[in-house]
Amino acid sequence: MLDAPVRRGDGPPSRSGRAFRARLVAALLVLVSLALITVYFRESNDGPLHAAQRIGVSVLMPFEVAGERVARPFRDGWAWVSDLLDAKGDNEDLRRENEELRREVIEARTAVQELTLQGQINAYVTSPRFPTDFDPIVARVIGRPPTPYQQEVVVSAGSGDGVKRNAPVVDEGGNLAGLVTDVTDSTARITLITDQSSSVSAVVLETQASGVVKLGASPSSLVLDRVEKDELVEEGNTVITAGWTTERFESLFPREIPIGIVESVGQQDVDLFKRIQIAPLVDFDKLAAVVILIEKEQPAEPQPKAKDGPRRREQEKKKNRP
Amino acid sequence: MTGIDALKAAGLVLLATIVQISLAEWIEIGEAHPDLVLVTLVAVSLLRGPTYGTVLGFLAGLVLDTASFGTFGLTSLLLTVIGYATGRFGEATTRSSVHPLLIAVMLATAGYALGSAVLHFMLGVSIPASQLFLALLLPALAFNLILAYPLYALCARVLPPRLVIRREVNPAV
Repeated sequence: MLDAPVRRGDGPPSRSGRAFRARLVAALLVLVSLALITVYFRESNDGPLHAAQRIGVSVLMPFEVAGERVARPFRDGWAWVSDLLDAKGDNEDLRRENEELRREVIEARTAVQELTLQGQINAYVTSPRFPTDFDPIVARVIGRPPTPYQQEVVVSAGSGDGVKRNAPVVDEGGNLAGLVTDVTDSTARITLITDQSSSVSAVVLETQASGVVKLGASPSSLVLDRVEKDELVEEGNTVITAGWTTERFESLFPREIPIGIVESVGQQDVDLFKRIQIAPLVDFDKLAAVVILIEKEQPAEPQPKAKDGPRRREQEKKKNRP
Repeated sequence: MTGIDALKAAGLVLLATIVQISLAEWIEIGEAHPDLVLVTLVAVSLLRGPTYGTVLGFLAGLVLDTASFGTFGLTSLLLTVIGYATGRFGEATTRSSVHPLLIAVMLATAGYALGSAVLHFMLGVSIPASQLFLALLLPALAFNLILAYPLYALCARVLPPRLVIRREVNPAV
């Protein structure tokens, strides 16, 4: 269409004359436009151009209103489609944001739990309840028993951290959890007191009735066995480690570590001992961190002087005599 | 410029201005709208030359400035220059260029956007260059190029191109 040859004008005005006229008109209208801009900026709101503009707006208003009415259904349809597309995009964004927030919440809650646990452990380690002859090693539980038959956990500290076999283990509150039964460089296996092989010499705090804590009838219950019938034990009494030390044997557990609370006490004529059920103080299902108690190295005793020799040897003989 | 032709051309541009004010402003991509007035002005300028383009650009600008409560004379200035330049461009290129309409619309759109940015900057209002190019110029180019051929066809139907009577020149004479 555009390639069709066109003629600008029919005759008398020459091409240069038309071009000059066009330039003249353009220059004139550009000047008028500049003048309009200048006057419009310089005049007040009540000036003639502003007034003319207001009149023009009122004249064009019906067209705008009509156009708006015509356009409204299309505009609403377009807005609906546009909103739908935006909503889909927003949905994706919100879903992604939700995922991020959920992850942050989980991280924050985990951090709070870590801090709470650490606080409890610190409180226990610095409290007077902590046995003075021991050093604490805090370890996280990284492995749980694969079957209910194995009451063992694996923790994230090993011989490289100073963990030794047969070291007693308590939870963050200082309650007896178990005993280290195997150690590698970086991990240790802890046999819980709810294991069938476990037995702990214990006493009832209130009455000093002594016995042995062993696994009860159910996996999570304990019993205090070998308590004489004439001993006084009542429900609600606290059972703690006895920490016996004899000439030849020494308990693996230090004294006065809480084990559990007496739930029920019973005895029958045919039984030799009382039947005492204990609820362990440690929640073994939620055990997240433990404190391993490592006995402090005893300072080496000074070498006896020569003149004390015979008398000291005599004292040692007396001590070792049964 | 015959009277009927002028009235037809003015009617076309006025119609485009009214449709622009009433309908086209509601269609938006980024911050750009389809510019019916600009494309119609380009078409009329190509069909009828720079004088038509200049005068109609000025009038259309006045109407747009009035309707939009904009700075009086600013759009007039831009459309006057664009109308004149497009008319001159049409005179110079319509016989040789492959797609003069598309080139004219592209140049007019770019000139209008850049000129508007410069004038507003001089008046103390500026926008970031990224916004000017990405949110304003590119969508406006797309809109106007889509509108170019249909509007040109409409304008050409109302203002049919005039045939040039080529004079036979005998070199021997």
